[in-house]
Parts: sequence; C-alpha cells; structure tokens
Amino acid sequence: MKEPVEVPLAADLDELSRLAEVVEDFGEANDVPPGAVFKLNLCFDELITNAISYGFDTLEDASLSVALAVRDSSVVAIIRDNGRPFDPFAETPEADTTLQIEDRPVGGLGVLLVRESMDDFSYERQDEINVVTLRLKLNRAETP
Amino acid sequence: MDIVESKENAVFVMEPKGRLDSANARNFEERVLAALEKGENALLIDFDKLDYISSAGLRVLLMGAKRLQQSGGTIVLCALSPSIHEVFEISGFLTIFTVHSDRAAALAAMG
Repeated sequence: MKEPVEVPLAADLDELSRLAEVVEDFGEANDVPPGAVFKLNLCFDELITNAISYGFDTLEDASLSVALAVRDSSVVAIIRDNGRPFDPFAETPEADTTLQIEDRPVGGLGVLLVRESMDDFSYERQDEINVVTLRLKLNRAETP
Repeated sequence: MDIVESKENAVFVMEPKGRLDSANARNFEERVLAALEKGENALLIDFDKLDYISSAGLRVLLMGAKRLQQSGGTIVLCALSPSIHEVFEISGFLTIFTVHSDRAAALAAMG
C-alpha cells in the first residue's frame, strides 16, 4: 500500500483498531519506523476519540476520515470530521504533568500527547469540516 | 484485549495483551475495579504483552493509583516497551508510578 492513503471511518471507537492496522500497513509500505507508527496511531486515537465523544449531537450524520502521505521525509496526516467547530489545540487546557497522584485530574492528557508526539500540528475549519493536520519527521522518529 | 490475571504471593498481577485504547479501556477499568473490590491492595500491571496504550488507558491507571493510595495499597508497573515508556514520560506518569524492567524485578521489589 503506497501512499497517499485515505481511510473513511464510521463514528465508532471500534474503528480505531481497524485504523491502526491500516497505519501499520502504510508504515511497512513506506519505510515508516514502528515508533513513528505508534505515535501516529496514538494521535489518531486521541483526536478521533475526542471528536466522536464530544463533537456531535447525534452520530447519525457523522463523517470522519484520516489521510496519510509522505512528504519531504515527513508523514503528513489529515484528520477530518464534520462535527461542531472545535480546535483541539486552542481550546484544551494544558495538563500539569508535575502534580502528584492525589492532585492529578483524571483525564486531559490526550491533546498533550499529540502536541509532544508530533513535530507540527494545526487546525482549520474548512467548509463546515474540522481539519487537523499533523506532521511527523521521519529522521528523528527512528527511536524506538 | 485479553487480560491475564494471576496471584504471586500477596501481589495481584494483571497482564493486558494487545491494545489498550479508548474502545476497550472501560473493560480494563472494570477488571481493575473488580480487583480492588476483592480487597487486592498490591497490584502489578505487567505490560510485557501490551503493544499500545492511549490516554484512556492512562486514565484507568491513575484512577487505580488514587484508590490504592487512599487505602494504603500500591500499584506497580513493569515491562514497558520503549514507545509506551515515552507515553508515560510525556504524561509525567514516570514520577507517580514505580516502574520495573520486568515482572521478576517488580515482584522482588514488592516482596
């Protein structure tokens, strides 16, 4: 499976494991190391879970997709959904990772993991669609 | 996701296999809560067979740690893959969880 790849997704969290298999195949076909495949799947999981869980009043008309391509030694991934406008990077409070167990709120780590795992991330609202673009450089993604 | 459970002296060992994501974290949560309700207060989560974890899985671990801290129990982790280790590092979980290289080391330390 050479790039680019486009994966339409049903609004169902069980789709994440199917998507993970597609991303693994994409990685094998395009020399994307396993550590980078892990990071991509982590980001898709976090962002799509948020979109499905909070982005829609009703999931009946929900439409989501992930597109993957390799450009200039980076993987570029685009996640689209037709939920209500939501910028995950502007509207999510930064998690405080220095707190001890009793003070740590349960949750709020998903977007932090995306920010720290990717080299670039951006959000746009285009024609009633949320568009999140992620970029991961392949040269520094060789660990682990 | 399968979770293999066993008892090593006073330590209750849970070994989740495969992927721990937002689709199946609730299943993991139920199993952790069931162990706590049975009175287990020394939990070892062995990640040796775990390929993947997302924040949904981290949430369950933190919830378990909070409960065990209140009851004077302990939760210990072992055998994190490099990618999973990085997720823990980013999340600040390496400072709140005790992590050992493998099950034998964890059990020795918990003994």
